[in-house]
Amino acid sequence: MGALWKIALRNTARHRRRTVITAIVMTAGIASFIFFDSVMSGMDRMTIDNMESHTVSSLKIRNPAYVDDIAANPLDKGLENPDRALAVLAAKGIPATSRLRFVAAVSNYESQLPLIADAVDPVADRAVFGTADSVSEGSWLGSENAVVIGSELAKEMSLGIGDYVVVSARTVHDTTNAEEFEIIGLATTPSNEINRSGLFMSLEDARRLLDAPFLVTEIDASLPRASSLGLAISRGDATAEELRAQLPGDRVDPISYLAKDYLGMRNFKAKNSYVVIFIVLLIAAVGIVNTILMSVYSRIREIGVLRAYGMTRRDISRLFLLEGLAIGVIGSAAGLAVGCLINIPMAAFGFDLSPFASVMGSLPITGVLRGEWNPGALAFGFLFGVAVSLVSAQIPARKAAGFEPTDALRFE
Amino acid sequence: MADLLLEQVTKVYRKGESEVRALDGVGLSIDKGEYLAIVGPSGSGKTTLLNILGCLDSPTSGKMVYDGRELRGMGEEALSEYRRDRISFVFQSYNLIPVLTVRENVELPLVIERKLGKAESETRADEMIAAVGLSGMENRFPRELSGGQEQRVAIARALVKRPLVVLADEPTANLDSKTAEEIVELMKRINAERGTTFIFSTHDRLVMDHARRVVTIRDGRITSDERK
Repeated sequence: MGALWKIALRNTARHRRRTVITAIVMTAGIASFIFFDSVMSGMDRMTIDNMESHTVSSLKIRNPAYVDDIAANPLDKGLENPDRALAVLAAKGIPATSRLRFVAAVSNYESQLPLIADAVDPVADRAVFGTADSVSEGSWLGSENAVVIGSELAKEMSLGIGDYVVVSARTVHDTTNAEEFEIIGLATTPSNEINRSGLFMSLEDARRLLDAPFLVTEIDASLPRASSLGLAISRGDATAEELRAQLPGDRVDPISYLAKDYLGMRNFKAKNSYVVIFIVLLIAAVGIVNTILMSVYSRIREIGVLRAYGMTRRDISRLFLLEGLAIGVIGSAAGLAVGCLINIPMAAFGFDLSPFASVMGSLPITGVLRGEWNPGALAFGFLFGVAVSLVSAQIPARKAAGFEPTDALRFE
Repeated sequence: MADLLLEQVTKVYRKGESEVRALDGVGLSIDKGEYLAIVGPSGSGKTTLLNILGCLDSPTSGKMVYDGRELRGMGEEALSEYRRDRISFVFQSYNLIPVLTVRENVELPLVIERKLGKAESETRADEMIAAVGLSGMENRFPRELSGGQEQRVAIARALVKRPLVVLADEPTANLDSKTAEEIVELMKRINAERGTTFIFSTHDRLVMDHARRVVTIRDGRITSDERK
């Protein structure tokens, strides 16, 4: 095997131009896969981060009956013992806050818009959600009869700081109540949903409006940010499992459930990066077949000599497979190195997506998009490149092994 | 008993409907240590005979006994093994492996054979390189050698595994007359010193003159077998 390696490696070096051209195609394929995967993973991370800090949080505790009837936002299915849940989370050192979601209508005295309002604990909410920090004009909640609304909603209803709106809602007794609130802040968040239809008020104001003094529909918690999305999901699932044991009767949902629609879409999207590597490496595979076939045809007499001296067909086949392997390892290693080099600035500094926020639709993708390091993708890129080379080298290797020694020695 | 015995050997090549009878009832007995030239015009069957003697090709019919063993019916892998252990070749175009050094080229049959360790193979290769007068050139590549030097390396490569038979196909055809003379002398010396059997296929008068036996072949048949 040592002699075969020696011949294979030296031939790879001898036909440097062919080897380099083939390796460059492989390098381009693997590097673009690594970069594409990193950007995709970064986009996923950014989306989930934004969802966690602006819309769904990283873990929710609710009444199971409330979740079953979520479309109706039922006020009679709030958490039975929110203090117990808050205490359990506090004991684990997990920041948490209570929220109350309800169906409301907001009026500027000229027109009215239906929306889902969020009643929050203005202090505790800051530890879980980033909404308070996303107030672009005015201030966050803190005073009575005050609301913060989404900046797009304010624009649509021609409202500004200091204006008054009437918020009406069905109470827990199925009557309608309405109160006047002053707009004290406008929120501009990565979530277009909040920007277009978000309305926040304090829990006290909402409970008075809804005539529900102790109502909490959900406890939202903030888990520490994990180094990767995969880790965030598995840790979230594990924490949820622990909490379920401690909070019988409550429903605990981690981010894997809360963002299930997005994550499902992400799995589909992730396949695109595999299509990219497949197509580019298919081109590289043609290059490898061609390179090694050229090598076979330029060395037919050499094959004859090796066969005459007793090498078997299998040895000859192995010789050219090793050449393919050598090209594959060179191309894949270079692809890995170039992919990592391109990804270093992407992961460290990222790319500011803010100018494109308006074209992102309802996806919470805005801010600086940073690449994510994905060791699995790096390993896959390298191994797939090597595997493609080995498979491609089969064709010329078989060709080489098929020569009769007498024909090979006669070849001019 | 002869080292190598062919009896009524025929070799027929089929090309579509037509048949080419390259060897037609050849009988030949070669003893250990012979220095023999096979001569004849182009297309007479010299190369086919050499290929069969070298176990690179099998006869269509007839008997072939090598070192006391009947080879007819042996499979390709078994023939490869047989060849590896007993037979060596010297080619008209030297056919050195361009990416290997002189030492590595000479060592190659031992590496393929896998019988000796690395150190022993290297020592044996260096001995052969010295024997063909190329000491000091062990680390050169074939492109750095003259034609005569390349053929010397090829001869060293053929002899390093101490084969029973060396088959040489037109070994002097690409060499100038002075170098050809040197190469023929070298092979003759090795034949005398080591008792290795040399069988040449040649058109070269020089090789024929040095051979102790000349077998002439024409239209696939042996027409004369002269011992000097």
